Amino acid sequence: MTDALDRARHLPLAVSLVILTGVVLIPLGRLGAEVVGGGWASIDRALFDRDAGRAVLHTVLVAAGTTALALPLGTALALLTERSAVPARSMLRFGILLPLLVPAFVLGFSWGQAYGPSGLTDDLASLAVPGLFGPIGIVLVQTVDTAPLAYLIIAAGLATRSEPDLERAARASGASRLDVLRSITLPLLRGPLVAAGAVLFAASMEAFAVPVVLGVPAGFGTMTTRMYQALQRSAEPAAFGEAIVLALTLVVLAAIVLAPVERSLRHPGSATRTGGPEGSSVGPPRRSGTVLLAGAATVYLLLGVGVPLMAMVLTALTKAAGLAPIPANWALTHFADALRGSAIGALGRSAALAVAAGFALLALGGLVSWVERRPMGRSLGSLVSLTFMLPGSAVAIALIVAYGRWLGDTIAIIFIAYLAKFWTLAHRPLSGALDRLPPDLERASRASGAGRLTALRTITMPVLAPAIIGAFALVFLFSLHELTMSSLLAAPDTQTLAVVTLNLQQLGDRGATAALALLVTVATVGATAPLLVVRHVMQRRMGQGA
Amino acid sequence: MRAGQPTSTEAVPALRCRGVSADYDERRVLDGLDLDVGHDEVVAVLGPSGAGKTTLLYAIAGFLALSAGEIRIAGRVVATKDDATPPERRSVGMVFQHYALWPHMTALEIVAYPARRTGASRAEARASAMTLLERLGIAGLAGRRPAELSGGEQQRVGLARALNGDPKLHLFDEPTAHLDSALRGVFREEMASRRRETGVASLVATHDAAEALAVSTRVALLRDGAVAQLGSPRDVYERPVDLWAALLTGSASTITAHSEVVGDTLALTIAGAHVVAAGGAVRSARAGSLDSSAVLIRPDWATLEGPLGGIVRVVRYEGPHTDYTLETAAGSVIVRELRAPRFEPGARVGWSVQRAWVLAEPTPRP
Amino acid sequence: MRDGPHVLGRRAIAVVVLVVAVACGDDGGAAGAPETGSVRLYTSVSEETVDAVVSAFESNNPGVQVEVFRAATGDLNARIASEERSGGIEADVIWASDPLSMQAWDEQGLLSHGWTPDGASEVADPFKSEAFWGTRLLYMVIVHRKGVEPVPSSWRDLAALEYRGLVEIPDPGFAGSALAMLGYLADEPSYGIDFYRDLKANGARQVASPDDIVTDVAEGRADAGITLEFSGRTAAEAGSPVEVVWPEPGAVSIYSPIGITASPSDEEAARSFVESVLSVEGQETIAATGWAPILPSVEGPPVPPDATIVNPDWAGLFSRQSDLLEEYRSIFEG
Repeated sequence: MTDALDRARHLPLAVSLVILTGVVLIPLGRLGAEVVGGGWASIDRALFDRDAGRAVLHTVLVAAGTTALALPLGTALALLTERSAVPARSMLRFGILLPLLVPAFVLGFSWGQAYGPSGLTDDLASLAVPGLFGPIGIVLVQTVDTAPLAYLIIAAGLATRSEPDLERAARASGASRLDVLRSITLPLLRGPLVAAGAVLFAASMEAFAVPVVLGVPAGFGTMTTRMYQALQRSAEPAAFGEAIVLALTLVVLAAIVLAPVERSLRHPGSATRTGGPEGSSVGPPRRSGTVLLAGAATVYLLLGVGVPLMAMVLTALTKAAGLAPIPANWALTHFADALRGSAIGALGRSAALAVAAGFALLALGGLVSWVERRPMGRSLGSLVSLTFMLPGSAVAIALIVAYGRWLGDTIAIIFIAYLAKFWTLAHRPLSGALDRLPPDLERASRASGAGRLTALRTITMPVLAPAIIGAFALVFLFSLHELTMSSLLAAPDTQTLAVVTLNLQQLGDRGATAALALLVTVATVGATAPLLVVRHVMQRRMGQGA
Repeated sequence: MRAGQPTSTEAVPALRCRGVSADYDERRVLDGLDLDVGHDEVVAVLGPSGAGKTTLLYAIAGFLALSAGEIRIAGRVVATKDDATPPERRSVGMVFQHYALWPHMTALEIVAYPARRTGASRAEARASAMTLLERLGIAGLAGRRPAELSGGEQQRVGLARALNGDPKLHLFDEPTAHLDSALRGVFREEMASRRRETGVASLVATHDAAEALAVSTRVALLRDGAVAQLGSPRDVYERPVDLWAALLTGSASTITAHSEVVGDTLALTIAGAHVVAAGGAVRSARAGSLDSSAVLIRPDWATLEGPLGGIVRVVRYEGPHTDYTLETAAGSVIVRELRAPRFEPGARVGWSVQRAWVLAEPTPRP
Repeated sequence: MRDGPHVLGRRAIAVVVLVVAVACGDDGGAAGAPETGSVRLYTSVSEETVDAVVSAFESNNPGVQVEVFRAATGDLNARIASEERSGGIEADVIWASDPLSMQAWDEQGLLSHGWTPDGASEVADPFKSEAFWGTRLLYMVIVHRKGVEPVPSSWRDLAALEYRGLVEIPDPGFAGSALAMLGYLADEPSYGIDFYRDLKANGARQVASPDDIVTDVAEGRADAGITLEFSGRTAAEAGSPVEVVWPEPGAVSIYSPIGITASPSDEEAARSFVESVLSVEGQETIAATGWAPILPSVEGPPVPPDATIVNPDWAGLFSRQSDLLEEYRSIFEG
């Protein structure tokens, strides 16, 4: 009797380990084995060959540039919403996080339409961003794309590491605003700053959508675009060899950048606790200053997201290239073109994948959160955190190497890729919520007569509901956006909507690309926003932080 | 202090702990603890933070396993080292330190929850919950969620919930720790009035001496995981078992004096002056006359004016009374007067004692 | 009738034999219409045309499903190569946009031989081979923005100083039509591969697809470029400010071949599909979507009467294509 119970107790750990091994460890292992098996010659050819070596250099440079811009930007925005009495704070917060809802591909493509040569601003005011198609453009767009990540990490750091009281104490001791920033806030934020920097760098290294839209047309390739071209364009077997070396290199680079900060990112905590009626303001509001800053932030959002989206809408509506984007020239022909053929099937496929990934990862994330709290399962938590560091291109190629023979060209391999890549997206919110769950709540229900399962069902799950919905929404959203892995793994009949959009763009049909991209964005936001609203309402009613 | 002997089945103690030991985080927190709570008693467990009060409550409620000993609730064994009844079947009602109100339910739903667990229909459970809310004067809060309730309101909802299972034993974990003084007073009144009702066997864990004395019929002093002293409120206040107990149960001054126990009185020689006071000595110090032992004097046992001499050092006016800290040849003494201050710091005054209690050093545990 | 049951019996037998004969169909040179089946089509033909042809075929052959994989020639190439590597090509029918790619696949043994579709006899000789047959004609021309001066009139003009830095050409590694263009110019006496050197020296930019070129010219990022006549014409019809020039010494005509792979999963359905593309109805569908049909009997989009059209020497080009590509790459990708 006790034997069976003991075994049952270890079952969740066993299941988690098996899935983790299958989805992550085996592919990575096989990838490593292939590269090592190919010997130094293949590595040499892949990395030090002129084109490939250049791609590696490009990747690192762009990542450095993006981090250098996005980190101060994210920090400044966090200070603005969390430390000053800025008007319309919640609206500003929402706007700052908005780029997360827009797929990176759409951001890159729409910037091209807005600020490129002969783009919207060029036509209207002869203003274009010089070098938009190229490294400069990639850095700018990725800055807009990833600044929200930095914002979230720094804002959480402001709430937990550099608490308002610490800063108030400094002000009371005679420090000016600037003094406090320099001597208290920033030093206390050192951990979050380093972590945010690492996350930005890693995210930029593995980015694919923006480089493929803004870099490739100008001949500027990165590791990820090179891997894509190796698989998609090349008929030579040697190209695949190069791709796997690049994949492993990406993994190693990502590990180097992220391993030191992984622990500090495990439980970022609630970012927007206001703590009391006094809020988190640290000094008397300087009306003019804050309004100016809020205005600047709004302008940044408009220029970064608003104008490009508008330009993309105009491209979608204008019936032919070269015509002025005025209503007289509008038609819905591009939408008809976009929805022809594979788009509808791809939509169904993408939706099914996103929903399936959402539920599967809720189960996996929940399973791991539960297991890692038991004595035997602690190491599992660290293993799972590995998945946080995996670059998408590398995951895809590792899966091809490991399972290509049996699962290649099926939708299953894409599903497994999503499981591997998005595991942490589900795990961390659930784990954090479990940490913050007061244990007395369950005890109170047990003392009130509820058994283990009843307590779980009536108390723990409803209180965790916002975190569960949040985790699902994150996985759902990222699955719909996902392009890096899907573009490498998709076969003719397993293309996702993002891949179909990319193909349209590659074929040069800008109008149809814009139309489909617009539809994708609207559908994604339309499907995810209600989840987030429901979550927000639930949190409000339960008095949890935003 | 009389040990209550059960004479009939109705007088089975609501709680009986024998030799209870429990570990938490690999530390032994409870160590061979014995404690009874009679079916109509309120027992306060008084101890400093970290003494094991919450651990004791959790062990009784079933959230912790025992490493030794036995716990019985209403005569039934609920926990031993090898076996434990799950919490939901122990029939305790618990009020948690931070109230533990479920944030996704309204007050009414929260209070109705225990009734639902016993199988009542939603309507029945809500009806009985409503009755309880009315009894506690918070019927108007029925539709509110915890996030919309104040501390005192939350505490009452937690109390109503604990009452709604018709439990055999109530457990209170630091019930007034997060309430302001006005609400604390309200709580003590409530507990006092409830003592007159039946079925109120309660264990109240607190670090506040005044609260322990005010709400309970007996006080247990918890030290190092065991009961150091068990007695009525007057017992622990007037006759603490050692200095530690004295400091725990109220404001305490100790002076050095020569004392002699004569029946119910103490003959004290303090810096040459002689005074006779009511009182006695702890058992280990009782034999005949004692030299230079530590003598406990509570602020309300000393008066200004008398044969003893002292200099006022600190004057503390607290509203209903003024406490004077006197420096005397025998040590520092706090004297309380039920009036506004009439001396300044530095004044020379006379003082005397009406009651005292001779302490011995606490004996080390074997 | 008066004979009663046995006459009826003989009649019945006759009817049954007739029905069986019809049901079995016949196995002549023409493929009969299959009852059910599937066709996996890999193509680089534009989506609108493929959709129109496929849906006409499916409605004429209910029960036959056509699965379409559409990608640009370069991607198609990679797809086929990777399928070859991992166990065999999955396509049943390949419908390409240029004969060079098709020939390369034939030389790898990927196409089947020994069968000729109905209607192939009407396809002119330069536009077919043993394993594949042209289905439509594409023309590479010059597109320029309205108002650009001087108007280019020959291929050579694109390397002229007036268009310095303002010319775009398509990537032969991506688009089959660009590959064919490269092949033609390489052979043309007064041009050769050096023409591409001149273009590059004059600041010409390479862009992936012919459609991109038309958009860039329309929006002013370039003044002129080499592209498909179809793309230029349709853009102009939609309202873009572009014009098509049929340049001297001739617009390069390319034919778009279709062929069956060596081991299709459903041979009957595949043959039926190929024949439908070459049928009058299929050709009319193709013409309706804007392309020039291969059958002379079907009318296609108008070609200016004074336009010169040239056909490259496909046979000669077949064997040189990978060398050409490499030389081109060294010029344009340095």
